[in-house]
Amino acid sequence: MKVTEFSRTVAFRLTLFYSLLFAFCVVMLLGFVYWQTAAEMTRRVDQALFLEKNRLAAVSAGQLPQEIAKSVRRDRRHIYYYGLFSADGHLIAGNIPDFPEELPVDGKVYAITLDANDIQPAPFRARMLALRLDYGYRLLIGHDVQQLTEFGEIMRRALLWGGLLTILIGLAFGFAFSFRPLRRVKQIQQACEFIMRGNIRERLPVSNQRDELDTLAVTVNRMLDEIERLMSEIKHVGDNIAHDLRTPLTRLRAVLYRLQQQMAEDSAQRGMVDQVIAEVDSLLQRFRALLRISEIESNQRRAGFKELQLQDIVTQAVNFIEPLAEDHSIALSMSGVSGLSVEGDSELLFEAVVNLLDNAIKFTPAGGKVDVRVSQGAQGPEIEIADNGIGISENERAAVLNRFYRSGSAHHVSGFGLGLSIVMAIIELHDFGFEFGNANPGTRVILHCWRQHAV
Amino acid sequence: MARILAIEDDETTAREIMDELGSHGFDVEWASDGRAGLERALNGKYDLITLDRMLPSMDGLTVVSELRAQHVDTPVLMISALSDVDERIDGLRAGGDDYLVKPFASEEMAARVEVLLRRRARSERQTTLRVADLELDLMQRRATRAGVVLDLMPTEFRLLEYMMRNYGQTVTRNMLFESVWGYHFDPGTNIIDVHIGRLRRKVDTPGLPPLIHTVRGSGYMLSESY
Repeated sequence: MKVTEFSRTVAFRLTLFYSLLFAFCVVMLLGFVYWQTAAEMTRRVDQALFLEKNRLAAVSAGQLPQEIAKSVRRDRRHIYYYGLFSADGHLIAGNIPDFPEELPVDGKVYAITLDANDIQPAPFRARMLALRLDYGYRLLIGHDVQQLTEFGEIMRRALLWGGLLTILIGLAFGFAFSFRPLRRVKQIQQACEFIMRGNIRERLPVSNQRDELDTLAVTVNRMLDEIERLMSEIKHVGDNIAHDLRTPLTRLRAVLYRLQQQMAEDSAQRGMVDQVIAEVDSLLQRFRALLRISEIESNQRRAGFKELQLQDIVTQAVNFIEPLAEDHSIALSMSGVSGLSVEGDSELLFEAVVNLLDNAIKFTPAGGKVDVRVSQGAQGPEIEIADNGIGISENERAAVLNRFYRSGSAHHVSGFGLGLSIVMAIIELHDFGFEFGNANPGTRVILHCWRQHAV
Repeated sequence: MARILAIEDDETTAREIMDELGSHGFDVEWASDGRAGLERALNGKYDLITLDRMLPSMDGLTVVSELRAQHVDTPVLMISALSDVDERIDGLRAGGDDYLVKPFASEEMAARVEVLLRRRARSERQTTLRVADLELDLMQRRATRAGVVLDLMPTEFRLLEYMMRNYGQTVTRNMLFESVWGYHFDPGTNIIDVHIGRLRRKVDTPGLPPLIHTVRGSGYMLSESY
């Protein structure tokens, strides 16, 4: 199965959509947590700065440099910054070399970024406030926001990897989830192809999951049951008509026969009666063939299956049909191995081979040839009948297996078009396979003489 | 004149059998159900019985097995609407001598009746069959016509044997197919005719009076005069 096949499945698309949605939600959630946490951390920093400002504001001007130096010493974690600057910008006490010019001196907290000239490591981000004291002195108090930056970094990384992982896992599950439905769709597709090739008894596979595919398969199977029932009903009606018409036709023929017997040998009327009898005979033969098909299809003959030598049956059929080939000036040859045994009904298999040979001879012009071969194929014994006659085009092949169908190019050939239907019925009864092979020009049919379905 | 008993419940079919066999010069009596038929078959002296497979009061299979149980060996032609192989086998196993599927062509039925009557009259143990100057040595599988050995294929030999055993009788294509090939389906095409044609070319060589004749509308007959 190709990747594009997976990516087109409903399961895959749904999974991908959900994982994208999930990834989006994760990003939103983490973003919200980050935003809330950062705000809280900032608020605490600002509060600490205000407390510090209030504390230092209460200290007298003379005491301030010592108090600042003490505060710097006390701050072991180095998270506070202090600076007492004179009016000319000179640092009197504290741990910040220069007063950052962008910081307004209004007692409010601002986020400040200091560059490498000011402090190491740079760039350095901090929250700071500045106070104007007497005589143009300025007091600066700052708090490190390194923690906040690091927290932000962690969050960003978490968002990136989390999002990526979610999408990857989503893709993986998408593939996994679409594998089973895709495989089942494939199975259903194969079953449909098989049914379309004429195996109307076949049904779509139904799993025990009772999912939407099963619901669909069950519905289609019910539809197939109905189609099969209708088909058999139609066939049944056809068989009944054939059956019912046979008796009056036989009686009609009996009367005609008596008439024929009473007529003078050379009279003109006798010729006409002969013709009518021939027509009635051909009608009766059609009905017999139709009923023969339904008799074969009734499956009752399976009980009489025996182990048979394939070679014997084919030889017998070839010998039976050989004078006909000679009459048509067709070279009939047979080759093959002996000792291949099959389970079956010898009479029916003989009939099938005779019918196939009869067709091959009928549809091959005088001077042509018909080759029969019995061989052991990869999966079992095979009978191959090849002629160099008019052949059957690719798109006619399915149609010729239908009842009464005759190739458009074969209207001059006598026959009822039921021969192949009888062959197909016999093959189906035996659960054998039938295949048109390549022969150019001509027709090549191959009978696969082994059970096509497991019992 | 041979006497024939037709055990048949369908009046039209019975009428057909009586007409056809009557026109062949047989004396035909009709029994319309199984029990009455058995009664008459056991008491009357008949040369042949046509017996429907499905009859009211007692079915055909029972009738024929009852007859055989009572050591009545009158030839029985079973007639049935059931064309199944199993049905045929059952019919023959119960004691029927031949089996004909309904609906049948009346001359087919008559031909089979005549062959059955004939079979009774002749000895099966002959080793040489002879019709005019045609001779068939069954032991050596050798055929001669006017002293000349005929080069026959095994199938042709069997065809000729069947026709010679029933010389002077009409044999239908179905009968030939059944007895020579042993199968019971309708071979459909004119293959039997082709086989006969081939045999005819070997047997009836130019200059000799023909022995194999075509019986219009029904089959073939081997005889000196036709």
